[in-house]
Amino acid sequence: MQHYSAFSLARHALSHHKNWQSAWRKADPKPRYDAVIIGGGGHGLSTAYYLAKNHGMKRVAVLERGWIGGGNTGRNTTAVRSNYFYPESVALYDLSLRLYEGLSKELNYNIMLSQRGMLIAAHTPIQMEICNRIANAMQLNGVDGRLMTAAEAEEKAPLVNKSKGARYKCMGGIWQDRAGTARHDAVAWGYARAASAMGIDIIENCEVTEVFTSSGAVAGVETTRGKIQTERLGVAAAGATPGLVQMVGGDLPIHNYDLQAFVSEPVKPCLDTVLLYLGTGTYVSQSDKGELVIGGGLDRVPTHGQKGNLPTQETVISGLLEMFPAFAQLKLLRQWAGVVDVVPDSSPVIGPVGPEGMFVNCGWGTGGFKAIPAGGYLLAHLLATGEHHDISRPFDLNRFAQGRLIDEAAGSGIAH
Amino acid sequence: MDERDWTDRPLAPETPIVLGDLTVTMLPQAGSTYLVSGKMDEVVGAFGLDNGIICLLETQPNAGSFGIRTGRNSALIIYPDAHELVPGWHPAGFAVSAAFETYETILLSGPGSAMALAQGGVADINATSKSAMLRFAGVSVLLTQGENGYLLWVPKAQLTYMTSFLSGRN
Amino acid sequence: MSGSRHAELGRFIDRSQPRSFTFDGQRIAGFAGDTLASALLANGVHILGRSFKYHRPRGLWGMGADEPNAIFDVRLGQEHRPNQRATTTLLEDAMVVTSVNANPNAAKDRFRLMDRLHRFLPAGFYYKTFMALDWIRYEPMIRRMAGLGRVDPGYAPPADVPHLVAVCDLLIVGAGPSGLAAAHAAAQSGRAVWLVDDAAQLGGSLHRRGGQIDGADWTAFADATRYAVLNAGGRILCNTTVWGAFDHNVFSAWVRRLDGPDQHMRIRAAEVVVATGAIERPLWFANNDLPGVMSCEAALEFLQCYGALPGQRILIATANDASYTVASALAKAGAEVTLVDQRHDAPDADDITQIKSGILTAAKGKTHVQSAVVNGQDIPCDAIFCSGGYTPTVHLWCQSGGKLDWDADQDALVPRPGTSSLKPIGAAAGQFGLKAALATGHALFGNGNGPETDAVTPRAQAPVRPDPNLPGRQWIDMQNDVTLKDVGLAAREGFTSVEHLKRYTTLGMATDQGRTSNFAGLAAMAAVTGRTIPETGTTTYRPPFEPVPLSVIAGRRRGDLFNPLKRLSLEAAHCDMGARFREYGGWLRPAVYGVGAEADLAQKEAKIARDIAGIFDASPLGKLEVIGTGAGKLLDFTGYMRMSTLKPGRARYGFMLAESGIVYDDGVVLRLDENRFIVSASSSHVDGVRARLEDARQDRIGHRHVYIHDVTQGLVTLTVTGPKTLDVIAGAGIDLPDLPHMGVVETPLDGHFLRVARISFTGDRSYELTVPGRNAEGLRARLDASLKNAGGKWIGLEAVMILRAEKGFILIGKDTDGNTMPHDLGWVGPMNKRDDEYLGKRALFTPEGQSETRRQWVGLRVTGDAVPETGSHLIPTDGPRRSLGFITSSYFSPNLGRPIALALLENGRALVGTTVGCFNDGSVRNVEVVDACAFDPDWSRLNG
Repeated sequence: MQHYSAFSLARHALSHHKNWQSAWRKADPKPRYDAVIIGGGGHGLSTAYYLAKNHGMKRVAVLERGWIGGGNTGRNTTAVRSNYFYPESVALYDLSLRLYEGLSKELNYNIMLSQRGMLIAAHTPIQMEICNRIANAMQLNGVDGRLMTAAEAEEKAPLVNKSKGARYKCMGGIWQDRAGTARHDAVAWGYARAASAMGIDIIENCEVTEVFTSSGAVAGVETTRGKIQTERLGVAAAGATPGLVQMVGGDLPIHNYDLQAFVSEPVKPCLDTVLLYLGTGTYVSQSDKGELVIGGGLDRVPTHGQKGNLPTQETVISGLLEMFPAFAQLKLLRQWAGVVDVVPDSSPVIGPVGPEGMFVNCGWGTGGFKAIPAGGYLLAHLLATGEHHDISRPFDLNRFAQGRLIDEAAGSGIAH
Repeated sequence: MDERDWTDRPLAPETPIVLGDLTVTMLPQAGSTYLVSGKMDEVVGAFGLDNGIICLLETQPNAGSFGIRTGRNSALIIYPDAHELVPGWHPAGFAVSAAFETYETILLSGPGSAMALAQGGVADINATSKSAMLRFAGVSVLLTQGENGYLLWVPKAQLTYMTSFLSGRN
Repeated sequence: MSGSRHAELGRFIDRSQPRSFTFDGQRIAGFAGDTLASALLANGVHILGRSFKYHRPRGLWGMGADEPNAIFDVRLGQEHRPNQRATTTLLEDAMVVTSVNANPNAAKDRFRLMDRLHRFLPAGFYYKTFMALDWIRYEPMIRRMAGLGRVDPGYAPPADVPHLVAVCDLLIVGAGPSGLAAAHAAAQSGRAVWLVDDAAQLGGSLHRRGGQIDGADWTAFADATRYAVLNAGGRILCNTTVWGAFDHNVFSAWVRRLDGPDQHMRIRAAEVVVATGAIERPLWFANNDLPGVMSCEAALEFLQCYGALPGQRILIATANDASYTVASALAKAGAEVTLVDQRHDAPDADDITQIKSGILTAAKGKTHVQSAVVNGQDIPCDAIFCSGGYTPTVHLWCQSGGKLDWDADQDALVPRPGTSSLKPIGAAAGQFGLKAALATGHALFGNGNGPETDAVTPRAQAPVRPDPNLPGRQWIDMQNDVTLKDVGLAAREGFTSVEHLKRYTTLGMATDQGRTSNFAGLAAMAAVTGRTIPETGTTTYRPPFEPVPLSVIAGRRRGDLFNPLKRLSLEAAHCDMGARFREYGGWLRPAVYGVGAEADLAQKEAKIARDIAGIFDASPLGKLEVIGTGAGKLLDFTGYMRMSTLKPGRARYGFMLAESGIVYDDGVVLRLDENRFIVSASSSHVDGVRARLEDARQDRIGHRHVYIHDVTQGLVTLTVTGPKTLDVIAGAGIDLPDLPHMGVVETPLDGHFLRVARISFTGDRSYELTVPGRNAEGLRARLDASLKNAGGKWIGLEAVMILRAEKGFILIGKDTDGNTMPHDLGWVGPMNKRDDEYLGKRALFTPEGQSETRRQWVGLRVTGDAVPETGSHLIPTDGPRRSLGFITSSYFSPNLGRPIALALLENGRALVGTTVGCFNDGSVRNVEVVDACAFDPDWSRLNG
């Protein structure tokens, strides 16, 4: 793997950048692998990386039906954080955040992790009480969360709405220092490059059409680029996962919805942190290019459409301007939507499903980007050892039958 | 923070708001109103209504009692003069509740009223529907017509909001 | 480029109305009708901006939304708008216009030295470096270098854009020649047409190209079309951009108005015609970004419509017939024109110096064009206008799901018939020229021959592609500084899918949304990877078609129009009584009454309410009437506590569970007679409870046996509470019937309706008095007089919350966390005894539901006066720290003279009498676990 650095950049400049190698090998499928991962998004690619790095498994393929990182990894609003309520969730998301913290150096790819902090803003005394509850939960789980006052919040985001006519006045909220943003495409490409350099085959334009088994165990997959045998199959395909699981007669409690995101024209720095308003449901940060990156609630109709409709746009963007009246000076430059796989308790499903040797990592809903390193780390553990890591065990599919939901929305008392 | 800083008082009866070519007037509540549910084609007979049940954008009768359809099995019935109905279950198969001031009626008149409707979400003033209920400016209202313009039946607690919305004041 | 103003030309400007503005401090004169771009051009201003990365000087390229360089911050009075496109911003007198991302200004930018470093800053360079330190250390510098204009922190544009919905039968997007022909034919056949164009007048490209239709100047046909459309009941919307196609034939339109706020429209159209024309492609040659290089079509537009002649010695480089009109017009306007055509079989150009088989390989000049290199020869010039062909504007077609086919003859991606219900015509469908425009438009709705023209159909454009072998840098994306070499680099590094190309190089992601860069990127990538253009594919087209102000999409939904609160009927009276309001459960309600610190007032109110009496407005509590022979059955199924056993005239406290077994809502159910109940849902949950009742009613019970009416808002409820309650009510002249606790009766009061329910949320003797809205003020006034007489007080929600907490009563959503099951709150009877089905039952019996470590509702007692913080977590007094639960409500109790707190605690009931730790923001204190009911545990005051 060619090393990336300012020095190598300068060196290559002298040869007009004609000697850079492909960031990842465009591999052709082999007939057999020790493990196959379906899904070339962030989670699938990080799984491949950790299989090689943590478990020495390199005869591995990632099968992606389109171009890598083209699903939700390429469509999200780039926030990373671990400001969650339940210990199980905090363990999961903070594992991820800690892995993000060293990732650029580890992958030798600049993922631009900007730990600029995140504020979840409250507008009523009762919301502040709930924020205190979450902040304390974070502290007890060993994570940096604290209650922030209105004055501090205003310092962090001076353009926040303070006018007399404001619908929601910021009273403060939960603040996480280590939260922030990362460059989403770089995460996918960085993992792909590192995994490929270790020998893993990344196979694009390869769609799985069938999963076949033998005596109750995984035996391989049929794809648009031929048949591939394996005894270990990991599925990290977000909204496509239920369809794949159905191929082996399995059933996942997942519904797919569109989640829209928006980007404004770029301006000079005007927002230095990530901000979510409980009242409007809109959240926003400013990218390094200067564009405001904006998100909000789902389009509430189940779909695979990846488009989204006007009412949600109007809701989210009016929410933004309610929070930051000055941003009404800006224009919407881009809009897109991804398909989010939503689970009733808003927590992912990680663990064995169907025949022996098959494992899923899905159901991340609107929150998968921040969890890419952990999702890959944990799915790799399952594929390599056949067993749960302590951190993934609570998220097993069997929690529904047990009644052991990890319901973050309920835990935060917010949407219930 | 004192929310009263951004609130406004609701319309009062007989003090219309004039906004260019749109006039917004609250009509006084008179008589009695009831919510009834049951077989809609038997309502007129069962409750002795002078007129029938009207639906979306239909014209309200000038005199006498009538109903406004609110759903597949439900209607709001209006007696302009006070009229007592026994609330509760009627053996003929109707449920009756006194609605009292559940709805206030706003009249939109003037050439600008069609635009006001378009702002609230009414794309087609020639549309028909069996029910007169629809989402208007995010609120479930009933929409009919009077001789002077369009009539919005607005849930009481939303009247202040609806006044602000219609009056264009921001 | 030495721009100048032509003496006569300029159909859009009004020379009788001079206007002026400043650009980077320099005063620029123009006219009404000018855009900033046309005025600057006519005044000979060369450098309008700096490129994003390398800070190279940039001038005007295009004429509309395709303009990538002339982006300005514009101030007019106190209004400030960043990132305004000069080509689409109308000049208004006294505008103050500044260039962006340049210091001190575009002409003299200090950062122009960045261009010297360009070799070290190729596409994606930031992925390869900046890793030595944490990214956040580099970020401030990077962010300051990035971004175009500035937000003015002191200016908040008004939220005054109305949102309008509309339906129409036939929507025609674009009023150029093809749109006009379609509209004319449709209107003649009686259709009501909505004809929409983003320019100020109908005509589109006809304004600059002219043309004869049916033997007369095209303006006659445009007028006739306007007349026909309006006559047939249609509408004409100019200055309107249809920017999005959404599901179910909904289209968004941004209507720009000069005499009032813009409008946002959602139009549902039964049939849609796409007559959106085509955008000119550039040519690619070394230094093709120099000021003075412009699109041919744009040059023609500036000349004809604004009288802005963009140069004196002009070189036109092209490979298609359409540019010849431009050459003639410029020559006629007095410029010296050289026409370079790549084709060897180019047509002859009369009276214009022409070079056939001429390839333009470079532009030369330092800050603007001074010469062009054609076939190796330097040709002096002050402007280069180029045309690489045209790309049909297919955005709406693709947004609606339509696919594209590669038409090799037309050298363009064109709509594939049958893949969308939209109907593309004219240039948008790859049918170029006036003749084709009129014919395709007319054919949609008209019979026989449509409008005729003698315009010659242009030959198909010759394919023009970027040549990677040319020395020097060729710009593909002007604004984001992406060169042809960057495309090669992307391909080399494996970013060969168009989506990867776009993300890696940022090509097409600037404010011009790839209008002039996407085709080049696609063609270049296809060439480099040995694929055809259709094999390489395109990126997805999404709304907005062009950047739309956020204020337009947001509309008026701000302040009190945003998530509006429900208002009390007696709000004005409460105001007059000194109430201070806050939002509770979607309603605006009194928090406290009076002047002073809120916490102190709440304490006083809570004390007087128990010493003497208090009254509060309880109107928002739901009043869902459940009526019918199946009413009892319905409530038994949807409730945890059975209601069919309730006697008429009595009330019972109950829960509604969710399917997951958690307590969704709590409240009292009143039974008025055999078939009539009233469910008083929590004020914030009325709609939700009603929806769940409806679900069960329709699916399970049978919808003819029971109905639900919501009369919450029609009635006002005032609750009188405290030891002097009976005195207060009697003193108000109300003849109170004898009621047991949890009894209800309806009894007339002065001839109007009154319902009395003896229900206590405070633990003291308490009566809820409910009257119709019209009688509410009367009731309030008489109660008020009597209350004052007795020495009582009106109390707000803050005091009510203290009073109920003293009794250990829960508030849904505050004291339940959405995992809370009824037995956690101590209500175990129904779970243990009911063997009939009810909502949520199954979930109670899962392993989790029956676990011994569930969090249970308890009280907490502390020593000292310091009130523990709500949200504090309870932890073991020794051993590893972990959360055992948390405090959900906590107050100083004025009636007990000490703090009280309520919590959900793991195995709480078994821990009553023991001590646990209480953790808040790092500090820990000990608390004693006690029963939730802190005040009057014997309930003796209920009858007091």
